[in-house]
Amino acid sequence: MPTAADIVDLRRLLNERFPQAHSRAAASASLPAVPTGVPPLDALLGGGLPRGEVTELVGDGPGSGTAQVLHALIRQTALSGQFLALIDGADSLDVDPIDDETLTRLLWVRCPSASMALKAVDILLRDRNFPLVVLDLKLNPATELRGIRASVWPRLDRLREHQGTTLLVITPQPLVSGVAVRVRLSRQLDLSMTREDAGKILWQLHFELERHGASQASPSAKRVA
Amino acid sequence: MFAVIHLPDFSLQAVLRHEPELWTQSVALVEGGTHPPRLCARTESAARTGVSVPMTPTQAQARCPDLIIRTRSASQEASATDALIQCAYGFTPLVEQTRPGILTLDLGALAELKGADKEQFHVWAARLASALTGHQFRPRIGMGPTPNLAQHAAHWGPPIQIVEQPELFLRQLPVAALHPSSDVATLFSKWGIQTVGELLDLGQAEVTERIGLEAFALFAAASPKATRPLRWVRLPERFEEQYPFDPPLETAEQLLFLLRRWIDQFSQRLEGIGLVAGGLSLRWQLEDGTTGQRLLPLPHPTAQADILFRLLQTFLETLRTDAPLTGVSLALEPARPVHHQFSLFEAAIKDPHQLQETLGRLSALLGPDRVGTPMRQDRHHPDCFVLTPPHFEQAPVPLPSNGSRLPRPLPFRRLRPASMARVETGQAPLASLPEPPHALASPSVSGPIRFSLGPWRQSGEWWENGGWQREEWDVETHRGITCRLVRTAEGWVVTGILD
Repeated sequence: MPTAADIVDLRRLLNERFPQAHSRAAASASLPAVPTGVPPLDALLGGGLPRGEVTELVGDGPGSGTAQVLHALIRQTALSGQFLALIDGADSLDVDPIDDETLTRLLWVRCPSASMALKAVDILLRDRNFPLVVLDLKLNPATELRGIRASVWPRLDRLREHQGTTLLVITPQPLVSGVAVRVRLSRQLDLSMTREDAGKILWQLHFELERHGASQASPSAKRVA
Repeated sequence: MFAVIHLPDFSLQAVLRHEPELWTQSVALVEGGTHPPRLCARTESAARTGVSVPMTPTQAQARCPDLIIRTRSASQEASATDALIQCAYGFTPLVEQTRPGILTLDLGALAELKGADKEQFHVWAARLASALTGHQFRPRIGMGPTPNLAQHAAHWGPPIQIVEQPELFLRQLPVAALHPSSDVATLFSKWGIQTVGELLDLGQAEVTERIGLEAFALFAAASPKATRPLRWVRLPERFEEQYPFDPPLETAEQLLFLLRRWIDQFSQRLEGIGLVAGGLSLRWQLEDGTTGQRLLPLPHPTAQADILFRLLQTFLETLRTDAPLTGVSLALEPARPVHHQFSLFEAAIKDPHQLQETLGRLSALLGPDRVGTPMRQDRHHPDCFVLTPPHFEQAPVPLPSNGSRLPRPLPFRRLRPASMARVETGQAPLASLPEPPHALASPSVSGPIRFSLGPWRQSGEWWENGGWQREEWDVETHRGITCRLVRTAEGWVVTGILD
């Protein structure tokens, strides 16, 4: 079993041998962030989703709040005058709470399965018209997600990198290999919250930063509830 | 200065434009309206085997067993004429359609040819010939100080001929260039008159005395100063090609090859006259007699061949027919180029054509009703929307909320289709109140219900077959999963899960 000291030595050796691989993470840290419209999440990430990178949002179980984050991001993107492409792996977007003006800035791709969703994101990442793409696999069954090969993510990352697209992947469990940023949501929303305003609920979501390739996040903001 | 474009055997050229590889083979064109049908044109390769006009196809095939027969087509000749005129318009706006396959161009107003010498005229004519060759034509070009001289130059001599000395040029032409009647031509042949110069040397008076009034027309045509007014033709803005498949086509490769050639030609024609394409229309005929059509609009008018072809290719990837193709036609809707000023402070679509292609590919992958921008329908039923093609250029930017808005409801994760459920209801505290659900069993959520809120009753469209009615409950199971239960006339369903 390798010790922590061995791992540190290995990382230092890799940094010396392949400096350009690490400079990419440093370069991305200097890029501005994409605000999500969720204040605690933006504070945790140092302004928002790292622009031009992949972020994985893991929602532990139902009621974790990933749908709240998704809707906040859709609204924030529209307020910024941008467009968002949503690849909905299980066709689960709730359209009713979104106002009409915000909907006009959304491209919704309704997929019947995770495999179709991955094909759709492959097509969309080749299009330079969408600086922000969201792949929502939260409601896809575990059997479908287990069928996703690990080689899919590096390939999508190369496509995304070519266009400089910011990609957010929403999953029920850690899935994306080599992701730059992984944030875990673990708060369970309960029935009493359904009577509250959606904007106030965002402050009650529980975020935990598991992995960050850039060092922009403040050290004390590792966990925000 | 005038130029004449002459396409020899125009009817044959109109047909072989779509199959230029056949020019090197023995091909004959059959006139469809005659009985028995007779040949009206043939390639040089067919002529060498002894095939001639006006043989019947049977006679021709007896001389050349490998002869390929094609039928003369008025629609293809019309398309070829449009292409020819559009190509000529790219060089000068003063164009006359003298006869089918023959155009006369007035070059007097062209600044680039003012004071030009023979070499410059030749370069200009070579450019014109190259443009026509790009449209699969085989042109002959003549240039001269009068339309008649230019026409003679186009008919007789090298493929590109510039007339510098009209009198000398006319004298060496064959007497047939003056189009004498058959009797007069026979007479000239007996006299040994072979060139126009020999005819002129006889003198008009003597020739008139012998052949009559026709001599006036012949000597007028032989005059280097004879000219005539030209009747300009309007620029045709029709871009359409059609082609019959015999035998019927079963695979897409040959169709794509043909469509690509047409698109390249359309693109050149459009650029030559300063227009762009606003959309494409593809029509096809099947062996079982049915027809189909598809309109393919472009988000931004363009003349780029790659974009136009990708639009067709993306559609053809999804096209399935029950029978082989017996014919196809492609029409293009011309438009003026659009100049768009983007806003400074709002994001704009960088590449509308790429977006169109992306949407086409997504629709081909998932279906046309699975990709788009949701637009709420004017109904009170929840989750009622349609997907429309995105129009991001016209999308408004929402204004930030100033705090006075109504509270936003919490979004759920919808289950589409809704999950059928079996619900056990408990006892209501009062007989007049509805019975709350206390246990739930469905493929998505199951278990005892810990808390419930509701019901919220909704109904609508009562004027249509009784309308719809539903009763909504928000419930939390013992495992802490909050979901939305709906009871309708058909029973209970789970429509969403809070996440």
